[in-house]
Amino acid sequence: MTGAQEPAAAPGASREAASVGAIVEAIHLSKVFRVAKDRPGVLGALRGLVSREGRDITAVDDISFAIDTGEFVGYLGPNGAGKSTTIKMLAGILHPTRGEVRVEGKSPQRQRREVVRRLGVVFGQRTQAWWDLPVRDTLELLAAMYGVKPKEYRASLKRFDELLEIGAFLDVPVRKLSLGQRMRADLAAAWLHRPPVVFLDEPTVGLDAVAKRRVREFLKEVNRQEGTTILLTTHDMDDIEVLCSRVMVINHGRLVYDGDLTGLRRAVGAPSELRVEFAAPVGEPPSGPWTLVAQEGAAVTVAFDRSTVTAAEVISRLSRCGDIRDVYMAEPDIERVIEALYRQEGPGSHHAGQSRPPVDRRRALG
Amino acid sequence: MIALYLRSVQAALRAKMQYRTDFLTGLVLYGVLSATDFLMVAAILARFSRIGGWDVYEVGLLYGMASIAMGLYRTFGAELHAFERYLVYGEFDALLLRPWPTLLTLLGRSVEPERLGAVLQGAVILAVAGHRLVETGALSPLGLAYVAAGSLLGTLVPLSLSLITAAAGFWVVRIGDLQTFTMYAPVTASHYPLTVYPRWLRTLLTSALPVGFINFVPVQYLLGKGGGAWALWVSPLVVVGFALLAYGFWRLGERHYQSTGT
Amino acid sequence: MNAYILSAAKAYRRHLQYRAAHVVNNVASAIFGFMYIAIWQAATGGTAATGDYEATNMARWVAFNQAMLWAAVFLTNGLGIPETVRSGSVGVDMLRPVDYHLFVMTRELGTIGYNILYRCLPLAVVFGLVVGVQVPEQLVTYPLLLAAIALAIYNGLCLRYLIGISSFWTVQIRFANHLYYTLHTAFSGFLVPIDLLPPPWDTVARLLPFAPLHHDPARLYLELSGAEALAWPAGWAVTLTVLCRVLTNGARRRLEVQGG
Repeated sequence: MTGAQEPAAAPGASREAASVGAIVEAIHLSKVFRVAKDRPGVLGALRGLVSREGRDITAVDDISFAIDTGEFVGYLGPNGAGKSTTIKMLAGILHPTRGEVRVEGKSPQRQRREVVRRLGVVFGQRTQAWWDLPVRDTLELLAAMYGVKPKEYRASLKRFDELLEIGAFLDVPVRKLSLGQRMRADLAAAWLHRPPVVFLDEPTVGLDAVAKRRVREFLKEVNRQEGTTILLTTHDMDDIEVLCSRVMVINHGRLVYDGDLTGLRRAVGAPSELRVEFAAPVGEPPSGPWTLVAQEGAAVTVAFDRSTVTAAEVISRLSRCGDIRDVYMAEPDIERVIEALYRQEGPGSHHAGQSRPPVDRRRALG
Repeated sequence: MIALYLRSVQAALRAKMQYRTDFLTGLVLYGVLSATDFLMVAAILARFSRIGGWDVYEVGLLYGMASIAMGLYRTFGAELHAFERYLVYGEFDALLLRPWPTLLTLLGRSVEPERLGAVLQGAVILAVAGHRLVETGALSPLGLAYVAAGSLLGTLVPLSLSLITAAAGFWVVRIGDLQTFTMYAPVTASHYPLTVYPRWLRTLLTSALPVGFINFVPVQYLLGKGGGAWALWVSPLVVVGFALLAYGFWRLGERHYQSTGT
Repeated sequence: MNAYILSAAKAYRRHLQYRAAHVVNNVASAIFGFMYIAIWQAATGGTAATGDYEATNMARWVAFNQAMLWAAVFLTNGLGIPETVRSGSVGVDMLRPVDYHLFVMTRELGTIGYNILYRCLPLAVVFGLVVGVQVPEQLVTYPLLLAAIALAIYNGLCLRYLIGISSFWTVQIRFANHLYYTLHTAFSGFLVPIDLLPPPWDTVARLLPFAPLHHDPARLYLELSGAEALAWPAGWAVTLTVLCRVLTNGARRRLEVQGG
């Protein structure tokens, strides 16, 4: 699992749970939270102390996947869909109600310390560094904690300086760092012990454009160069588009999509856009298997569904209006694709026990 | 593992020393402030001369031991004492991500060296009271040595009480008030000879909240006020045993947290 | 007016969520009381009844003050002001079309109301069963006692407010809270009646604003004092109010100059 490796091959059918060579596996993973009933009155409070009565909320509902070494996977879903719960189970923080997690073949629940030694985890919103100490001190402590040898430590520090330019603020107390600098420090801390697997929870949240780009460049680089397997949750669709070779979408605790981005677009049937520039202004374009998005002088933009009509056919039918000088294709915005996917899932109930259409998008679409 | 803990403490100390004036203010303040507590005891004793047959020096011995034990706990158990924050803001997760026992990672995250002011103050009272009692022949020099060592080992008692309370937080989350009381009520109680309390309270303070074993149980024997020689070896055993029990409960709470994600 | 009541009601409801944890606290709080009572009995047991402060009175003294702690002393540290100063949201709070000082104090009334219902009363019942309740012989004691308790709460609120508002000038509010509790221990008479303290300690204690929290209402409760016991607490209420207003204005100016 060292050295440069190509990100794992095409997504799709091969992604069955417990597949050989997978570095991170979730096997029929479920997490049910029990929310205690709030009873009124002093007596109720007393009873609440002893009884554990309450309603169940299924945060993660029978999820299975396998991530191969070197893959860069985006994990998407609306707030409360079960993203964090999944990550917490993968990292050994939470124990699943049902199912199992394997990281390098080991259970992070049963062998927590062994597994976390091989993990890096970054929570975007909170730093794990010592607030009042310079970044260097935190890194040194972590090096000691993970048993990083002095020579490797110095080498890592040099490399992080190249990739993240942390040298500039190594001796500044963490509390004085900007948000972007703090994230860079956190990334360095997470990669210090060269973990084969890293989980990132919204690493770009709250960062400005420059800081975001730097973080993405770093992630791309370590994924390519060191073959670090990365699972990333984000709300920033640019993260996904730039970084991820594979996308998993979770909604209402269920995995609704697992595959590549193109497949996701196709699955949702989100319209592709075609902008055609004619040699001279044209009149009203004929109707066809598309919808007119805009018409400005000689340029016409139409949206069409790739699953019902091909781009070539659209172009050929539009060419009847006049001489085409140029054609631009625009794939649907990933943000809109995701929105469409969440909508398709519908606002189904997330309470256990109540019926929910058992849509398995993965099989239906992937 | 110990080496790593010491390293963490060193770093935490360095972080603290960024605010050197605060440290010095705190050191003095905590010393003076906990001396005030003893003044209250002294005020009662000034008026009535004895509490349950113990004079001010004898009570001072109890007070000094408890003060040292508590002060050391507050110095090195600062992060455990503030554990509610970890539960309320979900910061405990970060501890589970480290390849070390969570308690070790937790304790190493910060120290409050200014609390040593209270330790110092306890030591002074202990020294004054001990000196006087040795002088009058009420306490042997060897007995005084035992008292000094017992004060240090006694730190395990508030630490264990705090650990149990913090672990209870895995179920009830809000432990701030609870912690103050499971710790302060018994520790304050241990400033006085346990014989003054009703039987049920005395039983409580030598069982579930075993602060009696920090000071009263051995000191009672050393001052010839009751008990037997067994008190001298039973006390440290109870203290260590209680600490192990507390750690077991902490592990139980940790597992509960992992299965419920409070 | 509505805003003040609403914020108090919200504070009250916030506490309701943690009733279960508080049941445990009350037990501990009662244990504290029994401990002090036992200490007093051990101290006074040998001697003959010593005037005002004989054993029964002392037991009730401790019980009364143990309950009073929750009404007048165990309030939110700095009334929650330091957090808002740190986060900067205090600027928004001060911009609201309500009187800031009054707003912060009434908000805390929700906490106090909760404490009285769920801590003071249960404690009073438990102590009453064990050490007996002092039933005032004179009818006038009732309004006097109510006034004394109200003044204790008001003074307690003002003192906490002063600590809170001082966070505009210092970040080390932790020490202030600790100092407050220690001064309270030493000078309020909640454990040792001020009259029993050796001079000049007793004189100092009588002058400071901590006696109105415990010593004065407790003496009224046990009918050891009459209406004159209200004079000093009332004086302090006026003084503390003026201090609070002055510091609030200072804080506001500081906010305007430095923008938080």
